Amino acid sequence: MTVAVEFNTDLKKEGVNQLFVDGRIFDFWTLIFMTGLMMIFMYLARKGMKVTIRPIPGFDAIEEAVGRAAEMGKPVHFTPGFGGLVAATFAGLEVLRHVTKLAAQYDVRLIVTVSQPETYAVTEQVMRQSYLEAGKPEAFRVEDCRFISSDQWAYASGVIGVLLREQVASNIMIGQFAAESLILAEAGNTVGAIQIAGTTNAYQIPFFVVACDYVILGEEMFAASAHFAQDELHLGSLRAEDIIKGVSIGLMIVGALLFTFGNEGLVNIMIK
Amino acid sequence: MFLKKTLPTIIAFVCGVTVIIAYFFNIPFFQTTAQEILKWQSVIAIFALGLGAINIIRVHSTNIRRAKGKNAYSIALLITFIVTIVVGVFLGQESEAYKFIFDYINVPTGSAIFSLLAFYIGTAAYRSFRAKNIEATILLITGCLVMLGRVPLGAKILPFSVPATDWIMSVLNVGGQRGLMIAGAIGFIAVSLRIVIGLERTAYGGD
Repeated sequence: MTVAVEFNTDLKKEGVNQLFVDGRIFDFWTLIFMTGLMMIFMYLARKGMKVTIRPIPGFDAIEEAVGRAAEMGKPVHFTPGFGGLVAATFAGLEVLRHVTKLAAQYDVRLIVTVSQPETYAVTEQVMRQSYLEAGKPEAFRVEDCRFISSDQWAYASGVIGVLLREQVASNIMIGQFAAESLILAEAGNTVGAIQIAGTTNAYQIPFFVVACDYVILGEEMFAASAHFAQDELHLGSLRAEDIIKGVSIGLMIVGALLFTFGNEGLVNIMIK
Repeated sequence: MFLKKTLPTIIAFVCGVTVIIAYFFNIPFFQTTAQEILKWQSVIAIFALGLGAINIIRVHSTNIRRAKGKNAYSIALLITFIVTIVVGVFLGQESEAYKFIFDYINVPTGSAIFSLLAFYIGTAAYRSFRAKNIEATILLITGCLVMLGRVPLGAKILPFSVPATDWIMSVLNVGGQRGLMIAGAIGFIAVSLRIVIGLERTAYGGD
């Protein structure tokens, strides 16, 4: 979910006088509304408002996956996917923090494969820091955080190689995935690994659903930091997200009804 | 502490807010600065690529050392890695040698890996199309109906499958996907905001 944006640096030359970029007024106020709501709920959560999150089976199964690897004496494999530093990758890295701490606790070898160079730099630091927080900085091995390739199929073949050669007990794939998702999941299945996967890419979720044991569906991934840390600020932001989803559903219903009866008022407001 | 925590948070905040302002407003200063920030992003990514290259050499030379030179895959990788760099740097990307590596090695091997997808779809479908419970039974029936509706022979065997497939794909499938996309986009915005205001510590490599 990346957005390619180009900025217009020749505004004076083109004689552009209006303050807002064409068609982004509604988007701007929506962003302000969302930011405001998140700030309010983060503040309320900090002041003691109780926020509970429903159990997410994929997250709960992570400890089982690492524990299984400890029992079998085999490594755990984790990959944040094919994406660069986008929100889904950050959500994946948040899970990696938790997985790394568990691996350190259970004395399990954790192998992490990365496809993008900028993600690799952050991933290595996340692993190093997590081992340090778990009290076992010496357990971190630089060669277990592996940059594979920024080429999609080279990355896929590299990960297949790691899964097969290392005979991993658990395969965790949480982040941004594209067409390589099923190839990786089937390779994990071939070695008999317990598999936990998650992505926001709606086209790849069905592949994970049929090939993996647990799947974290779309936006559930973004609850990772709130789920693992139980930090009030993250929980507050999560509550705000739920309210925004409710408002979005309400807008869709109202918009559909208005449009059905020939009123384009809401549509005209939204395209401004 | 300042260099590891505070400074990256300040940089992320300033860059994030600048790009957001430039996205919404026609203010020349912000438009120009945002464009520069995007250029810097590419420059920083190139440095990261260097780190990745060092990691590849380190991982595979360790593999070779541990296997006492018997790790054929790591040896092959390092040789092709060095050959490609030498050809790219000294002969250029327009050279025949570089084109040969790209057209006759990189592209065919990539296509070979991609082609595995066809077989993996088959094996995944075989495992998942078992009527173990109600959900799996619904998946099995829907899957069979859509497969029939998508092939010419299906219309002859079961004429109903064609309009049923169209309805499943354009109503159920699109509705579900849009739900996921909208919820994902809201989560995406929330994570981005948390990064800009310094709450998402993972973005800075942890605490």
